Amino acid sequence: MGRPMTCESSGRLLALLEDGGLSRREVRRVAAHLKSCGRCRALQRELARSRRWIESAPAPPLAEEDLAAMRRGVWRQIEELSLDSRRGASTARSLAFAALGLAAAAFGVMWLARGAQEPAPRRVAPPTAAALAAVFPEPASTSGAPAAPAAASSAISPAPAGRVARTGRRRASPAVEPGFSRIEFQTANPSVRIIWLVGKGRDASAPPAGRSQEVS
Amino acid sequence: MSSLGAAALVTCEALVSRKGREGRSPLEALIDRAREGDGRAFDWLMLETQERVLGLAWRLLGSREDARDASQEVYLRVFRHLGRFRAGHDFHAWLYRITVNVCRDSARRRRRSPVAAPTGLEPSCPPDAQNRLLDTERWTRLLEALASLPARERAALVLRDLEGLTSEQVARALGSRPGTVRGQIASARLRIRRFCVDLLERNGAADDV
Repeated sequence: MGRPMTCESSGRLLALLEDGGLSRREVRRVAAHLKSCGRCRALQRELARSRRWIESAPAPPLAEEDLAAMRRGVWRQIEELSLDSRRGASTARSLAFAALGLAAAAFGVMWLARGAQEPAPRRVAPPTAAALAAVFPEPASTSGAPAAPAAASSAISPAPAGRVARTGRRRASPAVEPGFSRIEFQTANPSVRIIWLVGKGRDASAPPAGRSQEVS
Repeated sequence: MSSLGAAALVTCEALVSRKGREGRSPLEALIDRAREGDGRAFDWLMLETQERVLGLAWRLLGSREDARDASQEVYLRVFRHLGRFRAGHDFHAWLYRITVNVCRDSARRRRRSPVAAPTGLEPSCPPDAQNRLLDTERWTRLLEALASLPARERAALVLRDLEGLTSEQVARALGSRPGTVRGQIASARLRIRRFCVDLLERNGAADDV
């Protein structure tokens, strides 16, 4: 059996005795204590009475209007909740659109600023007659060819006489370069431009001549 | 269960009769439907459980108005988190746990003892009959007795002795260990016993207890 039980320990076990949650050993010890302790027997009676009092307490006097008011309140809050969530979704959408707009605007501003910082591509002077001659040396067989049509490319400017002399070419009129068409391509690099000059009187089967011009 | 609650249960059984035939209880079928977004099913769920929730909140908070507010919060949490409730578990235990937590939060928010000023019946329950008066008196005394307990002991005692849960169910509802809960229940019963003795000595009516 061990040491005798104190009244304090007995009281805590007595409060749980009716639940049936005590072990057999605990029940035996409490029973032994109760035999010898009148105070704990009185406590047991009071506990039983108070428990009956608690268990016989009336149910909460709930009125139908209490319950209905409670349910109405719940639905009102649920509606507010769903309204809030809808508003929240709408706000999130608006914010997303605003962020996208801002990003686009920022990108545009940056792009414009970059364009302003880069040097404007310089206008490329049309090639001189000497340059043309260097690129497209006229074959000897064509020297006796009939005169080129007068409708020369207007993009070809007259070359200075000194340069013509340096190349050792003879031209009747450097101001007019008949028989050429000029095609220009601006590459992604603004300082590089590709210029094609196509001689109209040339052999059509020959590959078109061209050159790239670096704009300094 | 009141007549309204009984009628609600009959109607909800009709509402979920198809699922009920599949071997589940009407309450489980109702929970499933409410979880799928069926507002009527959620309303039936409230109708069936509202008396337990409101009664428990009233006993824990001691005031009709506070209990009504707390019950609204309880069902709002149920509505929000019904998707988290795992099928097959005890719905009432889950509901009790939410109710106890909401009442605890409510008491904390108001920075006062949860049952500081127990309020008895209010004009909505006219105390015209003698029995009614007696019930009113006993209800008020019960709230006073509960108010004399610490919050955790009060919750344990109400769930164990007034709601009729087992110690293990109380432990689950309170999120505590069964041993702790048994200690709280024992302590609460001893305190209530003192309150009862004092009450009887004051009234000199031992036979009522």
